[in-house]
Amino acid sequence: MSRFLSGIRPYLLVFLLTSLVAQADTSTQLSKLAYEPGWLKLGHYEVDGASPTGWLSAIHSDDFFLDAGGRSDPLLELQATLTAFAAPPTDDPDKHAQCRFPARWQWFRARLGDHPAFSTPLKCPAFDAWTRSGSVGSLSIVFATGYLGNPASYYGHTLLKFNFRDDQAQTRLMDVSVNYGAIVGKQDDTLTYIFKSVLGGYDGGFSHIHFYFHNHNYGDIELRDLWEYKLDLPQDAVDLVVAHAWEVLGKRYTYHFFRHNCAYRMAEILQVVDGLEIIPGKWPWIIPQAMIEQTGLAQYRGKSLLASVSYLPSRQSRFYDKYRSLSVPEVGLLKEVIEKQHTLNDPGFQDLPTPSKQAVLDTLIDYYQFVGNPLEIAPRDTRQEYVKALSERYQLPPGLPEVNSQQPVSPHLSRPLGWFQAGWGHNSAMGGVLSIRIRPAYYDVLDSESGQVRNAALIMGDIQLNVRQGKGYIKKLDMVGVESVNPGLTGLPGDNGSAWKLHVGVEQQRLNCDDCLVPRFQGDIGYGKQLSEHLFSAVYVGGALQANRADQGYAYTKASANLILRQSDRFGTKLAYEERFPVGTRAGRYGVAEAEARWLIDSHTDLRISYEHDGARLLSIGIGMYW
Amino acid sequence: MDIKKSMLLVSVAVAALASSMTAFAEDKTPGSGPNPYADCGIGASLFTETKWAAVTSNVIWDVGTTAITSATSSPQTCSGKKIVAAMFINDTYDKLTEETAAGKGEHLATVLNIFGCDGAHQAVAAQQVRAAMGQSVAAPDYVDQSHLDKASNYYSIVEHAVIASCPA
Repeated sequence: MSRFLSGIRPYLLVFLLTSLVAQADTSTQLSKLAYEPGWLKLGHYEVDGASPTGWLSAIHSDDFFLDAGGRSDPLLELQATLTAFAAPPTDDPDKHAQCRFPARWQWFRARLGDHPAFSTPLKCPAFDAWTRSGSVGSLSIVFATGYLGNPASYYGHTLLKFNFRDDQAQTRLMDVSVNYGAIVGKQDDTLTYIFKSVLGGYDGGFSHIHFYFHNHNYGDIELRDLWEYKLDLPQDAVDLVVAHAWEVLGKRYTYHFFRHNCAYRMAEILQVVDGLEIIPGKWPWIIPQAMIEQTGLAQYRGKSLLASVSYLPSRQSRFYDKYRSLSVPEVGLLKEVIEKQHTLNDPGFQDLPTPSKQAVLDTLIDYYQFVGNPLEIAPRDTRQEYVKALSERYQLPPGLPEVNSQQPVSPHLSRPLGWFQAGWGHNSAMGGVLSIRIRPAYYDVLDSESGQVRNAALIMGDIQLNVRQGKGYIKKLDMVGVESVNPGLTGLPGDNGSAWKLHVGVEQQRLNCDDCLVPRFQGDIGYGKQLSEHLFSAVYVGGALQANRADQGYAYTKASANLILRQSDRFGTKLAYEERFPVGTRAGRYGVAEAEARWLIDSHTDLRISYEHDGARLLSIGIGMYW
Repeated sequence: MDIKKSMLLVSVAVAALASSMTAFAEDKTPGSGPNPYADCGIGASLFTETKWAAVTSNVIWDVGTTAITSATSSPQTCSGKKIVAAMFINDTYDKLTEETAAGKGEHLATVLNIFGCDGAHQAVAAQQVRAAMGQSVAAPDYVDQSHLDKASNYYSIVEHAVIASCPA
């Protein structure tokens, strides 16, 4: 009997599904289903005025659709999907619609209850292998903190991670991570990449790989801390997300850096779960950290979406943690070995107790990895010193010395990313001015927080408008501002605090003029050093190209220095001086001095007092709100 | 360079490669399988792709699927598990050797798991790997070995340790 039932099952399924389609086809039921949010999400349909139905899928790969018109017609695609589900299986079940679109299958099944047509899913070998026979137990969002070495990564990056149940997963390194990125030809240079990614010149898509690959790439190559946000979702929701990720793997979207980016597309995958909302809706752009903040606030079925938060420090962070955990004599010995005043064979090292030897060697190993990064192509001398330390470590008994890790505040708890400031100032040349400043993103040297680069700045669209005697004018517009510094925390050779700055925008030529707006392109390279736990300093040389107004020249070279003092998490001060040498004009050199103090009143409010001097003087006070 | 010279060079290279692979295959512990780096045809070209991806943050595309497709198209004797282990070792080699030196770590546990050595037997296997790797790292030519050679050597060491310490 069971063999008989098994034999007729495909035909029974065809019959039932065909009947279902036939019954529903003439009714409004299918139309209603086709425009339900769940179906629109599964098809990645977006509102599109040019489409006859008003909808167009963001995916433009033909093989994502079962009807030729399915990309622009959710109803056609739904009907074709039902028909394809009803088709008998072939020799290759992986090609059957059920196996290609398991999330659509689950979605129909959830809506059509216990209808027998959906009670016997096909076996899908490829999908089963990918999910290790359905053993994904939970999902995580992994956030890689910002990286100023690559414009694509300035704002951080997000991945989706499938956490397999313990008996299947082995360790989390073998979990599967799903990653959205632009599909970039190797021949494109950085500038081309920036323009094309902003203007939609690339396709984007999802790839998948074991998590260890990203863990290594971000943590050890790009030296970015990772944060894992494990989500508290029921198993049916986990299964739906995993099934949908399978459907979109390898499919092509159009990539847009500011909105349709990694954070947005990854969140879309999660949002196929009914009632889950983690895409921040208040602005037309999506920054990965804003999505992480939204995830931290989100509720699902009446409880927090976040189950747990884990910190995965980068190689650089681990090196600094180990360095800070050394005793003063151990630090001294470490420096002497690095500077080759002593070797690991000398009594100074050999006479140490084993835990001290282990601690010094582990720090040395991380040091050579950090300064040689990537070690594989580092100078032979660096590689040789690394191997000496590693080899010595093998001669000691196994064991891990105690390390005092300094875990930063989780990025989902950081302040909001946008900033608005209203202020008043007094200009020695022009009198009192009111000012309004709006910075949609992201941070400056005084308010960088967790997930951002300390003592650095990343600014886009920072505009300051002044009003004087009823007349408004632009004081400054930074279209792009990047200030990158390596903290140089240890002062060891190679941990040298290399620094650079880039600013593109328009600003008033000098403080004594409100009608001297000039476009400027500025670049600096320099050296920064963490002088103490609270004090950072940097010196730079650079130059600027500008429009020649008021006979100030088309360019100037410059030398500058700054000090950043962080008295506490809430209070910081910046002192800066820049000497400018105009080029191609008789105007003489001049200096620009700045001082700014910031007090974080609460997580959404700060107060700043600033002073600028370039011949004229401007003293300002402003209250800022983060949004 | 004319065609004859090119053909000659290619022939010499192929013969040299074949003899080195034969030598490698003969130097095996009974019960151990092929070394995927040499015997399964995955080598520099596959891993070159991976390295490219590693320095192109946020724009990786299809690395996983490409790698997996290449791996599973290898000969039957090279099971998916061996390919997975080989790729894991290649991609995380430095961390693995550092954790092996320390005697424990997530990467070390992972590679033993991939080889099918469960938690109860991992400590003994890890000790064996540590002893053998200590000798490898101390060798004078270690610093100049290619990454692929070092990864291949680590693979063999782990495989031998698992055969000796972890029941099948």
